[in-house]
Amino acid sequence: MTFVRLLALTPLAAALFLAAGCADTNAPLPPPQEVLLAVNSTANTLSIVPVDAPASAVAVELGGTTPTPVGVSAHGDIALVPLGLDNAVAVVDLRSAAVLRRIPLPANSGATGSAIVDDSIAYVANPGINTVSQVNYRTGATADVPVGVFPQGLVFTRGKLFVLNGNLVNFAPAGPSWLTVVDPVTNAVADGIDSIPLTGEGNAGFGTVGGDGLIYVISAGQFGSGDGRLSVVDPVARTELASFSGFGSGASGVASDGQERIYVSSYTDGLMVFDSDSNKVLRGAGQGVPVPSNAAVAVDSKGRIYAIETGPCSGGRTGTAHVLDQTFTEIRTIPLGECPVGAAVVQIPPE
Amino acid sequence: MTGHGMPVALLALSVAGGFGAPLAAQAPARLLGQVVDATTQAPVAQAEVSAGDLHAISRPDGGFLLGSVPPGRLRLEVRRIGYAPWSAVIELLPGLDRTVAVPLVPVALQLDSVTVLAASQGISIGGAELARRGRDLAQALDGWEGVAVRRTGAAGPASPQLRGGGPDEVLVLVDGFALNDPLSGRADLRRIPSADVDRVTLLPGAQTVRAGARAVAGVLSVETRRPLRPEGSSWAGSHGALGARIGLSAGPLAASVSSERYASGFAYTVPEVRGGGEAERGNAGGTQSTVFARLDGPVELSLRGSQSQRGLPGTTTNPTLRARGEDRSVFLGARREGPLHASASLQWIETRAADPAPVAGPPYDSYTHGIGATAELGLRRPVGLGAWTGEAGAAIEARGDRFAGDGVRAGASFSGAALLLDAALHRGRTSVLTVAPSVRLDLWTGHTRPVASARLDVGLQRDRTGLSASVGSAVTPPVLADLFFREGVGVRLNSDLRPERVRWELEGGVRREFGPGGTRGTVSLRAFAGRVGDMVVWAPDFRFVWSPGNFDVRRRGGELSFALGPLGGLRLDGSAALAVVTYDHPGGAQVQYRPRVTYAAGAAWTRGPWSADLRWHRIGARFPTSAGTNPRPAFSLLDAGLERRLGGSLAARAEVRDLTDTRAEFIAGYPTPGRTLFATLTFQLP
Repeated sequence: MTFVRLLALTPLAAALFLAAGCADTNAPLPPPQEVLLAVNSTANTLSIVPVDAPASAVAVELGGTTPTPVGVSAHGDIALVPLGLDNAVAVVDLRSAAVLRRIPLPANSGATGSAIVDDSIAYVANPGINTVSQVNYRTGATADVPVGVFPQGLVFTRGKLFVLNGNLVNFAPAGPSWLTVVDPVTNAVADGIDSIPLTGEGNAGFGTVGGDGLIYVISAGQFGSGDGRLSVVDPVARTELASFSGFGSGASGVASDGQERIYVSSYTDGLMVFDSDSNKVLRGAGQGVPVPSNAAVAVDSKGRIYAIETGPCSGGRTGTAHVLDQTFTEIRTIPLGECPVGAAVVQIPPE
Repeated sequence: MTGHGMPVALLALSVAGGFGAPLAAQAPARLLGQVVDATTQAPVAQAEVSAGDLHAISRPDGGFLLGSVPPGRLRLEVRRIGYAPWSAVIELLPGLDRTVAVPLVPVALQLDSVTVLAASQGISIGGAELARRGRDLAQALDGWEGVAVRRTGAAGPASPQLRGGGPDEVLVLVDGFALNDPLSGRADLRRIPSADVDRVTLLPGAQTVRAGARAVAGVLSVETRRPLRPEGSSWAGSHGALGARIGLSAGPLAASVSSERYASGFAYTVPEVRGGGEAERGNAGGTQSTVFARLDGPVELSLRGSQSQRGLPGTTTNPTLRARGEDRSVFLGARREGPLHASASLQWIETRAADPAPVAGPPYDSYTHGIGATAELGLRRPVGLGAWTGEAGAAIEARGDRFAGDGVRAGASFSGAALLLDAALHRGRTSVLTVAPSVRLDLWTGHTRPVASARLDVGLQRDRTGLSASVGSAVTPPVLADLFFREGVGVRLNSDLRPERVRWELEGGVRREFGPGGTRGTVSLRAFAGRVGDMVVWAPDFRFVWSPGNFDVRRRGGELSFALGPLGGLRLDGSAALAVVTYDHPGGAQVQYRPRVTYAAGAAWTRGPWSADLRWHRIGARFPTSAGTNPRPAFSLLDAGLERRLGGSLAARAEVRDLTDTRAEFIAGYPTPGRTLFATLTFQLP
């Protein structure tokens, strides 16, 4: 290389150097930290498990007096855990792994399901008094909305809250379930169609939004009766599009991979699978991926499935998250607390 | 009689009857004596001599002296390991000495007619001290020597826990008969007024071999007082507490009646989860009446009856303001002592719980009744083996219970039988070595083959120091309530429950007495370790449906205690207990609601007609879950009392319970009343 060529390349090198300097000051934010959340009901704790570093999991004691937590919802760095018989909801800061506050709900609410709407508003289902509570989880303010019978699950999508009315009386299904539509803006039952009947024997308790934007709701029916169904609901038209049987006796949770797969956990049948593209039950009751006492399911951004095994729920024996790839091959297991029954995956944005 | 009218009547009776006669200036008397072996007439050293609040230890020549004894009638009691307790009523004249000879019969210490506990280190507390500590045994024994009384609110049952056992794992014997409810297995210590009690002896550890079912964690043996002088008390307290008791004797008959209304409508601290602050606890009060009678004779007859009505207030987060509970029980027992001994008992119990508007589930009105019967026949014979002397015995026991009603499955019944063989052998005089082996075979409903358990106690008493060691196993069947209850919302039957088995337990202890003359002190230390298979613990499943289950646990710990006094009218005592009871797997947590540590300390001071006492105890943190998470905080309770004798037969007492207004919750969601003031008036004819 001649001196002239070197001289000619100098400006280019300088430009590259400067570009590198600029690139340094405009570096993209680090990726969000993705965590698995598992509610350990008997232990009354929330496990926070970084999906890529499960060894650094922590458990947050939820406190309270006589809590019976069974579910969790999360948004950003906040998780909400309804405390059941404590008639309250715990607000957990996922960064500090600490309970920020416990917000009292009406007496006898039996707070069970929850959904987070935005960075301050959430809803909690009160099956004991047939209402949902709008909760400002930053301030603790609450306001109630009457809904159907025994609301125990919530789904928020398309700007509306869909309340899963289990229609349980004395803890047994009294008939088919239905969805009540609530408008968070007015904190009242939505205008237009405000009730969506579901097919089946009732006990709708878990819902998720599929990759196609539709709501998938599991109605477990009478525990042990084998009449669990998966309903597909159009949140815009507010109607049930389809209902699929074959989900057995102990359906306990539902999750979407954000694409075509809908996963249904079952205490009795393991992990069941529905394909929303072909509208087919790929693995139904009796054909589920064998996961013992599978109480909940969650999916991370890489499509890994977290099938939660409760364990014996007593005697201090812990539960387990079985991490499966999309072929249902177990990648690893993650120890959780005692009796994990609710799970979610959330991405904590960088600070 | 209700708790309202009785105190008023008693107060009027006290005043009208002139029980507060002026205290005459009377010179004290002296009581001298000698303790001898009734068989060999050899002097017995280190015997415990007590008369009311006065105590002494017999010298090597068996002699003892109690100086400055108030004249009048008093009960003299003498105890010594390896001998039957001796007692007599002594009349003392002012300024005169009275000499008595005390022949101790060298038999094994008996808890009940089939129980020999010669080498075990029993820890005793006398009736006077019990009365100072509380009006009923639930108050008086809470915090004593590691006993933690488990309460569910202000008026609910109060049952003892010990060494990490549950409330149905401590056998409470009253004059040899079990107080434990045959349905729930629990003993409600509220049913025993302290004033009816002469002495309580604690035998910690696995004692089912000698004492029978439920004695997995220990035995509390209650001896009632007799004779009862015409005596009574009435009291009133804050939060609406009110009560009265009357006791009297006529010849061989001793009887007492008590009635009490418990605190209700008290303030409690609202849990932070419900927003904090303070609120009024509703539906938490109740009433209870008890009757007790005992007829001494060749065949000793006992009658116990109780009736209670109380609110079932639910937890503070989910109160049940209209739920009510009622319990009634009648117990009849007969016992004959001697080489050929026998006993029999019959018990009727009924219980009702109703809530027209429960928090969850449909309204209910549940009524359950049942009957239980026991019989026992045994033979004891003196035995000698070289330098060893003592007794050997054999006994058979039978038990049957049958219940019906809404609370249990139809025809819930239980029957069982047991065969016990035991012996207690001693050797030596100045150093007494005691060896007491025993073996038991149990057979009960659902078990086709007998279950064997055994225990060996060894004790050495030398001068003022006693050493003890034991190794043994234990077994107890599940309680009927766990096996046969009717399923409902949130509860599920487990008819497959297995019996609880203490696979092995080792215990060692040392007890040392010290102090000169009339002042004495004791310090004792015990340590234990063992494994319990299939401990029955209630736990929720993934749907929060509760059910009893069997769990293997390990337990180890110990107790340290001391007592000192009188020192110029001052008595001091204290204890600390450690009970590490964990599920038997790596990382296993402490079993639910078993405090790992308990502490207690007390001081009592007497000067002239005045006496004052201060008592503190602390219950360590309890885990509400089997995961060892979300512990309920430890709490401390401080009680204080001031008493003045107003005459020969009348005394007034003011006391404050929970002086620091802790409002303790042993069980989450069930607070007890906080600071409570009581005023009590007591009379006791000489």
